[in-house]
Amino acid sequence: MSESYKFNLDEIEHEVTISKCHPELRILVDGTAFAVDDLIQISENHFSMRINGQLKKFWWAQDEEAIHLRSDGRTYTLPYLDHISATQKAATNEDIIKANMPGLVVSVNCQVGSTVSAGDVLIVIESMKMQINITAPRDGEVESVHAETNSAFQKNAELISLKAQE
Amino acid sequence: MSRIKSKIQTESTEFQSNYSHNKGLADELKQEQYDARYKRPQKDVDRLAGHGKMMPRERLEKLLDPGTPFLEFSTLAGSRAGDAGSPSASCITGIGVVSGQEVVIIGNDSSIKGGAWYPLTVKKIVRALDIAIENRLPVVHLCDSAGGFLPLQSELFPDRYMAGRMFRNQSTLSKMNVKQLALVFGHCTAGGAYVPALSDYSVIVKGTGAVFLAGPPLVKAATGEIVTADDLGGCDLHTQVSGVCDYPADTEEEAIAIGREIVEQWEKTTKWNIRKDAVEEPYYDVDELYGILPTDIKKSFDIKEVIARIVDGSKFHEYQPVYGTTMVCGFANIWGYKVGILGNNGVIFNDSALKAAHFIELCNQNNTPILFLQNVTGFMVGKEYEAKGISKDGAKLIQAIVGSHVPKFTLMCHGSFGAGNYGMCGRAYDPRFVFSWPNHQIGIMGGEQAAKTLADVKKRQLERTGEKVEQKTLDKVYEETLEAFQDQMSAYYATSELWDDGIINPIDTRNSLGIAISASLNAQPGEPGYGIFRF
Repeated sequence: MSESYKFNLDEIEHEVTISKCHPELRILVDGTAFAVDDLIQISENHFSMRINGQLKKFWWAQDEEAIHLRSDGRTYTLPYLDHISATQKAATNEDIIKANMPGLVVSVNCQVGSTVSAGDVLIVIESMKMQINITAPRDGEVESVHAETNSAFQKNAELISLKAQE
Repeated sequence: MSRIKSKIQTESTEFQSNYSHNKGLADELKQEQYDARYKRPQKDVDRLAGHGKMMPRERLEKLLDPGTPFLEFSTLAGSRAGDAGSPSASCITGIGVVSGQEVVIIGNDSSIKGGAWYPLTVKKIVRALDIAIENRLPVVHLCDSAGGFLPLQSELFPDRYMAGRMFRNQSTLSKMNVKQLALVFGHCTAGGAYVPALSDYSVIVKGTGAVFLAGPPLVKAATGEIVTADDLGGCDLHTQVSGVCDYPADTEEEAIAIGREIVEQWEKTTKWNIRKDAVEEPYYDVDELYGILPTDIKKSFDIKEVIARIVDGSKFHEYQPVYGTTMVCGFANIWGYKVGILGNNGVIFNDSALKAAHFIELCNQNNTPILFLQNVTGFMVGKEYEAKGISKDGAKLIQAIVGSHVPKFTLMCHGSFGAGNYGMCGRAYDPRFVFSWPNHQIGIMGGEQAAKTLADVKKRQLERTGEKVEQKTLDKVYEETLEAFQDQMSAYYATSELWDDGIINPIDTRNSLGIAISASLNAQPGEPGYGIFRF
């Protein structure tokens, strides 16, 4: 049985896989293996363990966002990264925003040159009796707007282009 | 499972205006429910007190285990039915805990026209008995009814799902070995006499309880015999002579105490043992649901924001996160129970329908109950989608739903239009329970579309007959259609007609679903059996 996690440390992403390899734990960090045993709870948040034979003491706490670790006089915060949302993000990193269905433009909320942040509503369309917000897939600057209020468009029509990222 | 990352901004004007709108709807709902439950003319309250009777709600409170929740069904049934309506359709139905056992409770409301059955009363009782059958829940009947409301007899007596169905359902429960108890507080007249007679156990209150096929006036009319109600079908007759009832009780309190003791004797149901994990409250504030739901039926919102406020720890394992994205599918827990959730994020395309059908099969394979969160305007229309076979993909989705053996639950979150209602397990697809939010709207199409369509039909009709087409005439058709649609599309109309099992306050959703899922597990699952999928 093994579990794998992704963490951010000093803005670098690390992949950690933990396998149970009785009597010790085998931990793989970015491809390097460590053997961990003798995990002892000293007090509520204070632990000790042996990593590759060396004793290490540390303080450990967890909240909803991250794991907080204190060892060797330094505090580390390890935000947890979610596998699924990481892949989803990668899929929408495009410059041209296209219509995924035919419809009608209800309102245009941006202009050429507008600076936008990911999630901002750029235009509102109506299709199949529903108003749908078309949002910015990433931070950027609007390069061109191909949509006019009350105009109809076909599927795959280009609605907004963002300036290409360098 | 990872936590859903909420993207809502509680400071935004949109959130604030949604919040006050939806909070207002919830407050109106609370007030309407309170009135339906408790508001009665003083003379009716006095009349019951004069007979030494409790109000129906008091009976319910004394029957239930103290401190346990009661999941009431269709509190506002009959609220929009005009003359054929009555508060709560003159009866109380729901699931509660009696002596540690989950039971369906059906109580006549004798504070309204002597507890007479209106057409919607019958519909509501038949539905409660259907719930008992589908979920194998024992039933406690609290009997106090004058029988069918005669002026409307043609709408409550003869058809397949009318009054006869109550006794058919009671007999079906008996055949299934599901227990029933009747507490006879008042009259059980005509068909009503079968309620205690078809129950396995019955208790009757001395002096006020009576069971007979025909009351004294009808007996006099039929045969000339003059007899009092008590002599004709009272406590002594039925517990000492006829054997129609089992236990005599001196007071209503005593009848309830005997009833609780009877339920205590029953063997404990072995529930279907589905996966249950440690319970965790949602991470996000449930109250924020008010700010998420839009004020306009046409506006969209991210269904994942709703999921985040219903499920344990706001944690969601999303299935096919980048395929058919207008149909959100995934696993989560509600009160610890593992569930599969399908929710709409827009119109259903071919890929969304296929994804949903496949996910439903996965839930069946994994013995995981399914929750449908409806906010749907339908399946995508147009040449391209017809050419891709949108009809056969929708057909597969419907077949997967019907073929399921796991319990299904449907929550009407916002819009429920056209075939989208079917593809998301509407009432006709036998979800164990259907609950709605007060902002919900339902119809074969949107009101504006229907009004436009009918105005257009009128125009062509006039053109054909060579009459002058006046804009005023067309506008009138449009306005009238729109108004009629808007009335009948409201959540209140839907619940009045029992198209659901009740409107719930969005913030109570998690609790209502928890009770519903728990109750559903009294029935063991069947086998999934699918028909021929058109590929």
